[in-house]
Amino acid sequence: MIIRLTLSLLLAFVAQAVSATTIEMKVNGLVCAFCAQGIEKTLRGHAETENVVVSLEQGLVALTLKPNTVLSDKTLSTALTEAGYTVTSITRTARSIEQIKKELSGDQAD
Amino acid sequence: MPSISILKLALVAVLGQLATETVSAKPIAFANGTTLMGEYGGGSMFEAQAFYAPRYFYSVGASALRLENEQAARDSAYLRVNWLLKRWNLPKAQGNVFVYGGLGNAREVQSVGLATSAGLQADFETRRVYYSARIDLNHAFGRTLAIDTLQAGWAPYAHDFDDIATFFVLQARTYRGEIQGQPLYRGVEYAALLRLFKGRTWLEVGVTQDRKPQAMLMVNF
Repeated sequence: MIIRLTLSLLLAFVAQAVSATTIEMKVNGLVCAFCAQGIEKTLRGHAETENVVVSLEQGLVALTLKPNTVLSDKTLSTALTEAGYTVTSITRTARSIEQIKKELSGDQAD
Repeated sequence: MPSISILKLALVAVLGQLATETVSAKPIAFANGTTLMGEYGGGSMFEAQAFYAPRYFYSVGASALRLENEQAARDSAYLRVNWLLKRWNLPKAQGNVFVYGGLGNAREVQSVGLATSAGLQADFETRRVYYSARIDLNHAFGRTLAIDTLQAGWAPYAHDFDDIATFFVLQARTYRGEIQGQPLYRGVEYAALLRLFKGRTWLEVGVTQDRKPQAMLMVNF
């Protein structure tokens, strides 16, 4: 019973990870858009990447993946580290890229 | 030893377009990036460069440099390596220390010979301020020419990723060394610059206290 419950929870967690809408990474060193172009180039170089948003204001790099593809936290963290930045956290959220862009626009309008 | 004209021709052929080493931006753009830069400085220097960065912490490329006073000029062409010695990534700031060096050829009047270059740059920036200090050394014919540059910049607004970034920059520069017995420049050269960048293009234009123009263009691919 406990094993079944554990497996169910594990499967639910994995399913959510795979189907999560957006991967949001908090990044240190994001102060120059000219230099940060490399982040977008690096992430779009992964075949799994569908969309990328970079916010210097929030220190945020967010991306969505193409359907039925997976990119691990380690892969993403390595990609940004090798782009010259420091990743402080990675979360997978249900927010869409459009929602994030809208919120960022709202921040800039303030 | 190949002549300076052949080296320049090779440089142009390989680069295909203007390349620059900016005295004000970082000598390494981003990993797997190619940078082309050109800078004209107050009638005393002109530099064009192209670099490729296989990793974020180093780039390799070529550079053509002219340093001149009212009497004569030294033209140099180098193959060069830039290295990010140290970076500090903070939540709202970044600091860097770069070193670089090159080997090539120089011509001064009728003399042609081996030339070496070396330099060091330290910078600190946020989205509102930029500070940098840089030393560029060029050695040929037993004499070293040096350019020391300090910059302080301020942005009227904090740019974001898709914005046009704007900085007002004050620059102080000294030129040490002589060509044909005459200094490159006497005293401190001050310049007021407007820096704009968006996407992969960076433009800097301004004027020195001698009313001479200064400009720099850099593009990343």
